[in-house]
Amino acid sequence: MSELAAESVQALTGHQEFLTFTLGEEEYAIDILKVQEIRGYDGVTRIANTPDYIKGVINMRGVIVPVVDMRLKLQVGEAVYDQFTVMIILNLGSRVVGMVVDGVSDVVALSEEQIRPAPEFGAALDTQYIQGLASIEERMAIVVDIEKLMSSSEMGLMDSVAEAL
Amino acid sequence: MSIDLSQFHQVFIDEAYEHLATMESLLLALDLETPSLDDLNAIFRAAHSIKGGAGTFGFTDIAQLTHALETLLDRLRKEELHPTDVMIDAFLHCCDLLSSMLDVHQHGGEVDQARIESLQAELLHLAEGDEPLAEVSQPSATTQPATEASWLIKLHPAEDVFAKGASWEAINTDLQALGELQVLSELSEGQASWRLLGNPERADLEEIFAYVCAADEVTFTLEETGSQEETEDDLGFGFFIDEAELPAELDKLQAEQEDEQGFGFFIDEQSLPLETEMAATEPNKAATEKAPEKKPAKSASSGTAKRPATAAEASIRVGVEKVDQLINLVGELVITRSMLAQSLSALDPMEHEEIYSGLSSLERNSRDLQEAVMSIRMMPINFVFGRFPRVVRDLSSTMNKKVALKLVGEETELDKGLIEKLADPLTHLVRNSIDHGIESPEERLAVGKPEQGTITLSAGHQGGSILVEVIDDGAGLNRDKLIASATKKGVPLSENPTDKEVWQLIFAAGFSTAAQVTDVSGRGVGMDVVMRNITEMKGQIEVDSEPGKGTRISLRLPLTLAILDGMSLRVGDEVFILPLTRIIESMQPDSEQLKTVSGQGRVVHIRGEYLPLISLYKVFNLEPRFTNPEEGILVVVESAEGKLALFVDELISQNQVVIKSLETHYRRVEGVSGATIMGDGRVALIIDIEQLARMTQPV
Repeated sequence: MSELAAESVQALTGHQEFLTFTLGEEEYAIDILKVQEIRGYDGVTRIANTPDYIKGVINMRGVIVPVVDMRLKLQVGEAVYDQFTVMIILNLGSRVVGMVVDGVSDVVALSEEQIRPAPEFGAALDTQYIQGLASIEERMAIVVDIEKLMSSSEMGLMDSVAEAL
Repeated sequence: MSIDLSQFHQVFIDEAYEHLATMESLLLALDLETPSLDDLNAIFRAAHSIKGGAGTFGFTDIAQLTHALETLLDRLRKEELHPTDVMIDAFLHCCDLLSSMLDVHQHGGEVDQARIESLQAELLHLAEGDEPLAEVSQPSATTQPATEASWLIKLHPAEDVFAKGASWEAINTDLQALGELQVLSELSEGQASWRLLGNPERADLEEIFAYVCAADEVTFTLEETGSQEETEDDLGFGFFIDEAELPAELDKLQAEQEDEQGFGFFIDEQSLPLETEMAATEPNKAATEKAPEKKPAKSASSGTAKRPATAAEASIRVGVEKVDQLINLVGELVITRSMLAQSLSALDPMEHEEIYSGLSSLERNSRDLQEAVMSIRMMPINFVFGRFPRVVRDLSSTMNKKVALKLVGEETELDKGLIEKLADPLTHLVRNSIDHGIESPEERLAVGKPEQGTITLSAGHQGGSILVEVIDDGAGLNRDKLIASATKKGVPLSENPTDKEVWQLIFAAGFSTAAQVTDVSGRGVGMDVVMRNITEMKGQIEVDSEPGKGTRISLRLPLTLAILDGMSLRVGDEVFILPLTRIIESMQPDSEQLKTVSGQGRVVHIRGEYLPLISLYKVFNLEPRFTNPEEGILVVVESAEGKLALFVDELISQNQVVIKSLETHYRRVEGVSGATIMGDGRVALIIDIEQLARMTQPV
């Protein structure tokens, strides 16, 4: 239903809906169609010998899903875990990934004109994963191509091709 | 009005494959000395069912071949002929050919016509065999050339089908296409009769009339010049029979038909005349011999009545993914139940008695459900073993060896996934045993062994695993030859290798001691593939051999891939699962048992053995409760590289866990074979002991 609604909004207005979240001082936006659900940070099982930003795996109704802490990955904000810590569960095609962020703020509709190309800057995030910058009521949100980011070898969430062979 | 028969083709083909498989296994099991009549009848029925179906759906080539097959079988089951090895070979070839013909009908392609014809001729030749005296009743019929046959067709529908839209011209045109047509009596009140010269297939004729009227409203009689009398005498389906007699005949046939296995959708009517008249319908000599017999169908039905019900008949086909889904769901249910149990454990049992009793019945039911669902996946190992009688027979004859196959424990059940993966490795092992293991009959006699070698395939439960063994009574492995071959190929080997180490050499890639490469084996590929396949199934291989006595290769496999009996243990805050089958013992060591090796690695001395000590908290990078092994627990486990002692904080409990893949959404993790969900909803990792052993090996 929500998918249909979102698609029709996009079709009617040329707008796409985004979920915005904060990491430290920065605000990020991701395509809402990639979001499966938002839940608290709980019951994560650690996996040894992985980068610190991979927090481990959780049980999502019988499916075992890895969890990434974006604060650690992008080195913004402070990685504290309490009852307010939230996790965005992303559904990227065949894969499901949990992403820990500082807070989920809003759902916004952005038109293509509102997303401007990002300048080359020395951000924590490689510009190839940034779709653009969008201004939402005086604030700036970094629009991230979350699917590309999560499936990149940089994240190490998947067996690389070489390994699989 | 026409019915699209093609929609039933798949059903026919599936069933035909099943019948072929039945036939093949029965043929291979047939004792040539004292053939069981039941078995012969069962083979006959299978052939007959295929023929009936093939005729109905217009696969005339299949119908013809099975007819020839049936002719011979019919004589066998009536004990007019004695089965011979040659016949069995012909039957087996016939099965192969039929299955390739089915494949052609299903997917298109070419059938080797010459092969069909030669096989058909061979079968008929065999059927002629030693002609029993009482049966040679009609020499005129047996010598009659088939081309002089003609068909007498009589249409006598209950109502005027032509008035209802059937076309007189269309029928005539169709019939003319099959041969020279004479109209004997013109259409009147829907009745008509024809004589068709030439030699068309009965199935073709039936096809024409299938759309005109019901099968019992038209009769086809084969007339052969000189043998007309007998064919007309045949069970009463003919031109001259009084129509009033027909229903009585039909009833009788119907009763017999009920003993037959129901074939498909609307075959009953069509196969009725087929069953009784087939002998007369197809113009071949052997079949016409059967015609004068007044009650051929009677004897058939007395045989069919005794047919043993097999389990396969009461089964349904279900996609594997559906079963897997069911297993997953039940797994979820089990997890949910233990979550519920955990959160209710805080309640006072006295006050909440009903909840507790409900919970315990939920536990019972979900356990039963889990077992029932798991058993869907379980199949008897016979599904793999069943192919070996054929393999052994074929291979031993190509290699001029005499080999008997003994199957033990075929009913042992294991996971379907495993069964499928077991087929290839087992075939390799059996081929190897025949090629390298079993000696030629002369050699065997020379060393005082019976001429015929024996290969035993056995399966059985042992502990939590399935033990599958391939045992031959051949020459055994040659230790010196293996060592020499290993040195030549540069395979590393310790100075004074034990037998066990030497035997393991056969699993090295590219390793072969065969003097010459045959098309069966000797290229040195194979055993390493076997090893890899078995390891993939989380199984182990052991080889045991004695020169001159034989070789025994044992495969130890887990019962199932989906569920694991595990021991849960704690390290720091995390819970891990160890496969229970790998655990030998657990103990709390004292300081005297712990030794360090060159100040680095630690070993533990248990009953004369020094085992490497692995601290799980170090491997998995955790904060443990104890860093001193004396305070925690050591779990001694068995790996392919030997025993290991794992140091953990504490053991929690023994439980059955549902194995979940980490790779679906994440990736492989070193030292971990998978994950599971515990009663509290948390994920626990399942330790892969083999990987752990390799990870911690000093490089």
